[in-house]
Amino acid sequence: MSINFSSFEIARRALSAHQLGIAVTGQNISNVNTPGYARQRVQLEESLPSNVGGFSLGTGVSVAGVETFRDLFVESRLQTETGIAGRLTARRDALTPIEVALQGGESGGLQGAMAKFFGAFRDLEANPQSVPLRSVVMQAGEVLASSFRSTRTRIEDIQRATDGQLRTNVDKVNSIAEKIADLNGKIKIAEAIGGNANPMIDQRGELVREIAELTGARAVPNDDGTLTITIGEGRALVSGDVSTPLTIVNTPPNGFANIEINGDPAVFDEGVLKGLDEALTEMSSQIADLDGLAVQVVARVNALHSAGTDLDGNPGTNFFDASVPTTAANMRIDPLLAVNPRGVVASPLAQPGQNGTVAGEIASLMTDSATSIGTRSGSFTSIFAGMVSDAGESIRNAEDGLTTQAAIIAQVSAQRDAVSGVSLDEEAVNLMQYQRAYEAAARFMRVADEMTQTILSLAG
Amino acid sequence: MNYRVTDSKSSLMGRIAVQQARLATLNEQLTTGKRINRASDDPYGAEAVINLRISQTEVDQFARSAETTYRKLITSDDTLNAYGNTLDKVRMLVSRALSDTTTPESKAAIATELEMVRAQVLTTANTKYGDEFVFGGTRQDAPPFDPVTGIPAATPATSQYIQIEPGANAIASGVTAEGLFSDATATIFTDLDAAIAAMRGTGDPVADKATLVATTSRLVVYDTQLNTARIRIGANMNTAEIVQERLDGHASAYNDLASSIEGADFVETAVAVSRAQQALEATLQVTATRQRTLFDFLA
Repeated sequence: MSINFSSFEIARRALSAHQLGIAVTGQNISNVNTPGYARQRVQLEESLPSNVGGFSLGTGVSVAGVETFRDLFVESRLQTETGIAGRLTARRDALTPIEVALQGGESGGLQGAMAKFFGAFRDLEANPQSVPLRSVVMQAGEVLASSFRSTRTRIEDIQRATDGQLRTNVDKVNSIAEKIADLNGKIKIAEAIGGNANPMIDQRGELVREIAELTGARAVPNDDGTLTITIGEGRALVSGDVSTPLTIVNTPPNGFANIEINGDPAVFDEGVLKGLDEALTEMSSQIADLDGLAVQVVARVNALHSAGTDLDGNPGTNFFDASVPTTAANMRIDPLLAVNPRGVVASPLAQPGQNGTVAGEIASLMTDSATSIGTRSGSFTSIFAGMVSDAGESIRNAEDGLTTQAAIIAQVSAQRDAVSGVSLDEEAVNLMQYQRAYEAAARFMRVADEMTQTILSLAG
Repeated sequence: MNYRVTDSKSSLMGRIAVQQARLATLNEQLTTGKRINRASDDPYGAEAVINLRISQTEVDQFARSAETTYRKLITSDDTLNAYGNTLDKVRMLVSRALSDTTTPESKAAIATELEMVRAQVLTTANTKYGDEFVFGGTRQDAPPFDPVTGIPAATPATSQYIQIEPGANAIASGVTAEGLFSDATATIFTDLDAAIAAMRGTGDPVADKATLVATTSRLVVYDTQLNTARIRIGANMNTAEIVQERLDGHASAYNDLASSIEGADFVETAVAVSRAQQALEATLQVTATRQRTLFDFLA
């Protein structure tokens, strides 16, 4: 009677398969909180049977591989939605300080300064002979000019900081693109030689999510296991194991960053970079509006002021300095007038007598709706109110968009988790299953061993 | 196929962040008493509030102009009230001088008193409100009458007009000395000078008496001028007062409207804060509760 050792082989295979099952379960449990991790499962299959004495006899279990649960469609949607959220967040965060700069906090900012300046002329209209009120007008004029200057400086500071953020994020994108290219190369080799590329694929997935958030990039899988990462107009940031860096060109007049790829302007459909770029454009337009408002205030006040007569009967001069083209950055009281409050005009009369008609006309400019700046028209104050409202609306829209986007991302993430997420209950069941199977296989080996012992004792 | 439920904590974290943000917004509304704390809270509301606040400032400013105008007018009115008394005194002194029983010595004494009265009238005509001659109108570089000689200023003046209401016609903030202390024929000072000379005697008693009689009729002219001026001033004072009240009402309406747009309903916000707090606490409690898994039951 011969001894059949195939039972030992079946038991050995079962032991090692279920040991691997326990290891994979352990891997899943330990990565339950790892971002981007996709759960794994051991793929078991029946070993090819052997033919013994005309019978086809099973040879136990073998491991076909370790399967990773990923839904490429959901992953791609998550990247797209994350890119949109990146743009909205960057836009909101960059623009939020602007509305504070425009509103000016408790002091009332530019709006308060305008009310005080034109109000001072209204007081002068009622007391056209007063020297102290002329000094008040001068002070209010200086406050108005400095409010224009400081509001513009604040917006420029925010714009510079946003430009700095843009540059930092470009560096980040280049670094991530390099890592993805590196992982692409490793994954390609691992898959070619049949190695386990799953941990690297998980790592790369997380990096792709980051780059999508920054640039709105899309990832296209290739047959060799690599991913091609493209931004707007289909330009590749990563292709195979090669990454193409984004470059920054300093653009006049402000030296702000223009992003290029391969010497051409880089276009982003979504992402933080697009959000920051949009915010920068919006800030430039806010500065242009502010400059336009300053130009109109200076021109219209000067036109009335220089047509009147001062307290000493001299022809009026410009109230605001008009020796250089006005912007909100250089607005100031005419230097000659600044040292002579008696030069402030209240009256239109040529004689050295006074009534307050001109002062009244200047005061009425505040709410005179004949001003137009670009697409805006109305009074100085209503145009400014429109600017504040538009800045607020931009932020509100980004906020509202983000609320919606957060809900979409939560839903897509839940979809992703439903496929790739780890469930500890499931893993507990798996652990139990593999453990019991391992115990049973060990028991089976003992039985096979006892049987072998019995036969050997008969021989002894 | 059933939806797999996994152990991801990301959604819970997101929910905590949302609850915290909501609570922070409500707390800000409660502590500031404002629903709109920055333009992005309600862009259209914020724009409306800015425009309403500007309208309120403008109306407040006009109300201040109306108040200044009223103060100028009341200064004129008070001054003219005293001037009326002075004219009465002049009339009395001239009547006494005209009396046949008045001795030449008494007439000379009356003339001295009239000289003092003349100085009073000159001070009245040159009264100032702050830096302005009350009866100077648009001519403010010189007093209406020379403080020594009583000669009228060379430049003619017209009344100062002040706009005290948006879109309305400006109103005169006073009357000019030209229409009060002089007419086409003479000034009150030349008339008084003639009367003083006549009281002291020029050597021609008949002509002196005629001069004093003429002075009496001139006083009627000045009385008429005074009354006309006081009526005009009184009317403008009424206008300024009514406009000021109306503007105060408008300013208050603008303020109420702006407050109703930007203000937070205290009770509603307080209730919302309490609800948001409860929601956050519940979310935190759910997060803090250790979720049991099958592992807990396998031991």
